[in-house]
Amino acid sequence: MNSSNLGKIKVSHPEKVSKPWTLQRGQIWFSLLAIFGLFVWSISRVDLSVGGIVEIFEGWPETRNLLSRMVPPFIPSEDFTVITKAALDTFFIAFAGTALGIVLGVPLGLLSARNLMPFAPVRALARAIIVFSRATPALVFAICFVRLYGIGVLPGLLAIGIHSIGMIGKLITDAAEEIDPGPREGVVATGAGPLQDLYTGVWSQMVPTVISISLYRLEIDFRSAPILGWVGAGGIGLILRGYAGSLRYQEMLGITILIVVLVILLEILSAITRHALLGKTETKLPGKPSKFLDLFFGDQARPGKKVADWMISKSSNEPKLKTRNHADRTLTPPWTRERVKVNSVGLIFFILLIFSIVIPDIAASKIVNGSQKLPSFIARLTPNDWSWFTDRIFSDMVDTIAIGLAATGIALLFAVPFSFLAASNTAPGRLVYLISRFFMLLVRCVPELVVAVVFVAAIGPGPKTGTLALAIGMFGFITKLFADSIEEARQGIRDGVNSTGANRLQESVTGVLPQVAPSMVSNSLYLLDVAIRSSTILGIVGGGGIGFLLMSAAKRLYFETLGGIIFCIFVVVYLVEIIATWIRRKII
Amino acid sequence: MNSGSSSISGVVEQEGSTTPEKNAVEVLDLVKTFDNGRIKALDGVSFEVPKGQLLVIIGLSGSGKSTLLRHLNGLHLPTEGSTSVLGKDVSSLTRKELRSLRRDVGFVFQQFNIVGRLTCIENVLSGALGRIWGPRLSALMYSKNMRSEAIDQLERVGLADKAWQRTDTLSGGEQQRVAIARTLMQKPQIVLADEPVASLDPEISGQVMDLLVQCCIEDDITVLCSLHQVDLALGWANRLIGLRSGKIVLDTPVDESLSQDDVMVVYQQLDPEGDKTGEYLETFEDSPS
Ligand SMILES: Nc1ncnc2c1ncn2[C@@H]1O[C@H](COP(=O)(O)OP(=O)(O)OP(=O)(O)O)[C@@H](O)[C@H]1O
Ligand SMILES: [Mg+2]
Repeated sequence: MNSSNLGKIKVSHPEKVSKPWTLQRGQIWFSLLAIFGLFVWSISRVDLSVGGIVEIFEGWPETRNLLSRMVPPFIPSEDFTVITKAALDTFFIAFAGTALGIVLGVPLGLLSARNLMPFAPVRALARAIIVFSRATPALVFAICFVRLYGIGVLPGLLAIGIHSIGMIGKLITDAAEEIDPGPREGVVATGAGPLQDLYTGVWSQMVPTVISISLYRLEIDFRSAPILGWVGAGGIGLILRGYAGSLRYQEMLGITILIVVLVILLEILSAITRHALLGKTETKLPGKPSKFLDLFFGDQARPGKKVADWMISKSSNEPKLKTRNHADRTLTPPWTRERVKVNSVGLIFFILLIFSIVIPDIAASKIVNGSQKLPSFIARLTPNDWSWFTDRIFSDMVDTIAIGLAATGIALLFAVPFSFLAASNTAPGRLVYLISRFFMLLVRCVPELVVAVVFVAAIGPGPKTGTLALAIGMFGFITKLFADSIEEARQGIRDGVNSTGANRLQESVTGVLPQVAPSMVSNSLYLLDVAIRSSTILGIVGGGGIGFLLMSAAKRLYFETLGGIIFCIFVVVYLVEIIATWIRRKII
Repeated sequence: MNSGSSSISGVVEQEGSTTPEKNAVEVLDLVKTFDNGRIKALDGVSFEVPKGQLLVIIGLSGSGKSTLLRHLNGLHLPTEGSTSVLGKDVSSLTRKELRSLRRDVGFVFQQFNIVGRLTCIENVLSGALGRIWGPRLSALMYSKNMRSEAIDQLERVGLADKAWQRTDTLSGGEQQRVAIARTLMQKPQIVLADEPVASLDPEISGQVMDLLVQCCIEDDITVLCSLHQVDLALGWANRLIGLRSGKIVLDTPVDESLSQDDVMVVYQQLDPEGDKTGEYLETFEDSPS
């Protein structure tokens, strides 16, 4: 009967075979088409359509001339101590900054989690701080803090820390809201108080996620710290700026390469740490019944018999379950390899943190002085009217958005085919795979602002340069996400396609692409979000967009303009995030 | 079979091994609705549990067993009626008073509800949180006496040698034994066990039930345990309450005089349509009697 019913349904609704054209799907397709239209518009806006590219080629002799002045890269030995100190400072800025971000971001993240904080106003406040820190680039914070605390390591550290709050806080909130409520209930049911519940029931479940989030943030901060010195916030960026400003191109490239090498080293360090702390797969051992209990097992179905026996044995004071000799029990955790490893990593990080605070010699008086000025500084940043909003600011904001869009489009154009080469299951050969992965890793370790510095030197300032630099950075960022999701594609479907005699390319396109398309679209939207964030600060090094005005307002102490521009950046970045999240939610 | 019905149902008498002066639990006309009254999980439930009794609550899935037990340590609040546990009216307690009541009322969950990442001893020690002030970040932050006590409890459930092992590396039965040790660590006067063995296979179920009940007898703990298999219930109860659609349909003492016919009545009461009776019978006849 059931089957005949099914048949009827099929016959009477033959159109159900293709996906129904719902409002939902309509919205998705409309948004994606709109974004594609925006890509096309942005390419011409940043002057990278045919004419613009021809221009690059026409200017090639000059570019080649400039490029040839960069080689061979070189680091002057007389500056060696200064450079070493700056490199160390950069490391400390990133390290201590991330630590500050964790210290502030974790509590904020917990406070904004729905299952931990019952009072909506507190949640909203915590969330507002998180959103603001996330949407304001670290470099923008750095510019402000340099004004407050003076040139040096301190503003850089604070900038990294305050900006990191945003991402850490958001991820912590997500992690907290996803914890298993069961163990928490178990702890609460023992009569534990709220703080005990928070530590034992919630926090102990979150520890691996917190470690993972912290390391991830540390890697990002290692990449963004080197450029902070450009605006005076300490570290190697200051030296890069010095060489770029005095047109010492060979030294500039030398420092660039040094930065890339450092970032690669730190990335490796972080990967090792991650492996040491979280690498072990958490396997569950198969259950094996204990012999101890077999003593009691046997006649469970006899009503009341056993219970009665136990009651009798209890009243006759027979010995209880025998307890072991007290001497041979350990009351402290044994030093397993696992514990040794975790403790040594913890110790190393603690020592590094102490170094990061002590060695850069941050004067406490500076912190106090600067922080005292903070309220009046914020007051001065707040515009009284709209007089700061000029046409130039508007058109630069449009440029900023165009740069972000165009860079995303270009990055995607190259990333989609390339990611298939960098995924182990679709690469045409092992060698191609390894080379692609290595190349990808290398590109990922070059901060886009550092690329922008070199590009500005080679092809001159402007949105075009910024777009190209950003596209490279975004390419490195997105190929990894793409390649990873391709590697996760299910083998079964591919085998099916394979058995029809398809070649490897057909197989990838028909077997893998449909599977990974949703995650690719979702990741691309995330990429757009990231690209627009970066495009707001490219102008600081001459890469076009609002960054230029931001920097000059800060230099000339036009505080209202500075505050107004920061507000514009916040609005754009936040809106893009909301739109991107909205579309992603529709897709998934 | 029907003739046995009247002689069993409605008997509210416990076995005479202990003669308590006071009831551990009193439930009066308890009604609980969810979703603004659209779902009636409990419908006028009343019963009393004298101290020291081993009460098993049986009923099919959705009959309201979990809801009932969760009322007794304040995880749910009644829509109507009242529950009094150890002489205290649960719904009128302040937060602080509720926490202190929970110290005396252990809860064993179907899904164990232990923190898998922590070591067994840390999970057991968390049972002592109600006795101490402030959070504890690691086992070493509990006093030496407490750690020793925790090992004692693990010893009782046969897991002392796994004290420092991560709990999620243990088998399901062992994890539930850790949860039992945590509950014993509380030194409760009552243990509420909500289908403690429903996610374990039959053999392990018997072992874990043995352990739970025996430890509770040793420590003079009153037990209210919900189960959905009648055969399991018969082995570990000295009183049986049957729930159907949120109402008590059966209340009988359990001892060796309970005949197979009486047991059939139990089935009948729980499941009048008889959809599951065949299943029950099979398990019953498989086991030695
Ligand atoms: N939080 C809740 N919200 C809405 N309905 C609920 C809630 N908790 C329980 N119910 C409903 O109350 C009824 C009784 O549920 P309860 O969990 O107490 O049954 P149970 O006897 O424990 O069943 P099981 O053997 O499946 O655990 C069910 O119909 C259930 O859907
Ligand atoms: Mg239940």
